[in-house]
Amino acid sequence: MSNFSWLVDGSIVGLYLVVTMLAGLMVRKYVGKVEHFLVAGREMNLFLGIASLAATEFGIVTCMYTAQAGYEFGFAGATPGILQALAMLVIGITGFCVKPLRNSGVMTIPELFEVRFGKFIRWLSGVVIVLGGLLNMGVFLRIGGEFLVLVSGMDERYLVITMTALLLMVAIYTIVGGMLSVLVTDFLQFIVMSVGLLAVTYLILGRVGWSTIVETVERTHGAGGFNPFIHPKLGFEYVLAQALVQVAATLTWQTTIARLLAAKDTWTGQKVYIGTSFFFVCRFLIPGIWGIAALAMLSPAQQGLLASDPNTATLHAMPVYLSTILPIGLMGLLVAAMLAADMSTDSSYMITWAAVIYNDILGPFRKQKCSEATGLLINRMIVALIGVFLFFYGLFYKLEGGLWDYLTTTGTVYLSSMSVLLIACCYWKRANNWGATAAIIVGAAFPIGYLILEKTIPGGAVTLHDVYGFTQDRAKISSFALAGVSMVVFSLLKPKTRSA
Amino acid sequence: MELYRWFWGLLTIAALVWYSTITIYIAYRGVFDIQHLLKTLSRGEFNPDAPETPVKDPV
Repeated sequence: MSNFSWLVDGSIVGLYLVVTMLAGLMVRKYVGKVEHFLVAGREMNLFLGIASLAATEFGIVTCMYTAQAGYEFGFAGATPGILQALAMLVIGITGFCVKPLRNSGVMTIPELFEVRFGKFIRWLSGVVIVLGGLLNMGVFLRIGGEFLVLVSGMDERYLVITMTALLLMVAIYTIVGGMLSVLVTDFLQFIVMSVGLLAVTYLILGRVGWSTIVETVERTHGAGGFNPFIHPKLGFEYVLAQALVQVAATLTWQTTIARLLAAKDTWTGQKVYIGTSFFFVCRFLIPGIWGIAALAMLSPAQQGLLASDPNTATLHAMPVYLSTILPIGLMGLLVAAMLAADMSTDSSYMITWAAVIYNDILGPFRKQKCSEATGLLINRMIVALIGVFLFFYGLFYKLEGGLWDYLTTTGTVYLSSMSVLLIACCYWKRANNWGATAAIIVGAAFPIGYLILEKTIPGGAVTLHDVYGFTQDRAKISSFALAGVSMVVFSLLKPKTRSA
Repeated sequence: MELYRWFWGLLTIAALVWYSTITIYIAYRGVFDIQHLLKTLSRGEFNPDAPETPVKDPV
């Protein structure tokens, strides 16, 4: 039974929603040009950038998979957060790839690739970025809806209504105000989200106690709950795959890169990376602690009820736990915080993937440059269509296995090849369109192949692992390694006289 | 095991302290960034008819 009070908590949530929607809609008058809509006129400053990037990279889906990782793997489940924080810090300080990328003046990464590899590679890059990105964000809406239904104690039949309401609220201000609305609402959402996250964490630590949390991890996972290298379900391959994914995500993840490209100059973009880096530790560790607390405090009866659906048992543990311990008032703050987190994530994802569709997939087909008004209209229609896709994919796709595994595997569809292309584009003069084509095809083949096999062969992921030794981690590592090798080999195979 | 406990304990404290501090700091400074952003855009410094910035080769 949830402690959610529709009067008190509902009012807090309602107030948050009204303020956010008003703020998002108020800035629409400043949008007169596609560049305003997609990169906010490149006027974003440091603190707004940090708030926006942090809010974007933390959605309900993030909270759910990081809590699931804490529940399943203990503290070791927070390893990807540490790896991404290191990647953000090092790349922010050195400017590796991001400096030449921002200096080039592009709006998307494929636009840069056209300069070195030609129009076809720009288009193909756009296709894999959108394919990987949309598959990735396809589950966001459903997971967000599930969390809100579980925490507020609503009947599950209201899931579709919750998903629709979430989508409509985000879509309205994103379609109207584009990146400007996203930045302004992200700022408000960062504050609401952070206050909620911190308040709930302090309450959990106060109620459960640090020693109970540590003892639960020790009792359930042994030393592996603290060290990913010796956890039986994680190990070296997991850490390597995560390191590759996190470095590639820092370099090429569309929503992250959008902040770099919207920054008012290159050094501001780098400072946004540096300033946000430690947030990625918090992003995994804080909900991870919630997940561990759920493991420690849920009664055997509650755990038994969750286990009745093995696909969602570990995913739903945290929201079920929170629904029972949070008092009235704090429950409203949590729901507002999670709504804030989710809306900022969904809006950013919609606008940044719309940018790639407009700029790089449709762009090459435009015979002549369309007017700014037409460009804005097309962008708004693309955002709306992404919303429709999110709704139906979330409704019909059935998630199997860990949520984080799904997200990193779909992300790898483009992360592997795009990171290889970006590095080669920035630092290797011999890189050409032969190598780029091969890297894109090979990079996408392994993760897509894994997802198809998982859905089509009897036994799914278990059969793939036990019979063929093919795991998600191996699919990711192979994808990165072979995309790199393909880039080098095929670039060298191309005769020098035929330039890209 | 004791080392692990210390590591995760210190990391958790660092995360909570850092996150609490940065939330307050960004809530304060971010307002000025938004003011600056909207002021620049409302001054009409961006000409809708201006040509797109040419893309430069990074190498």
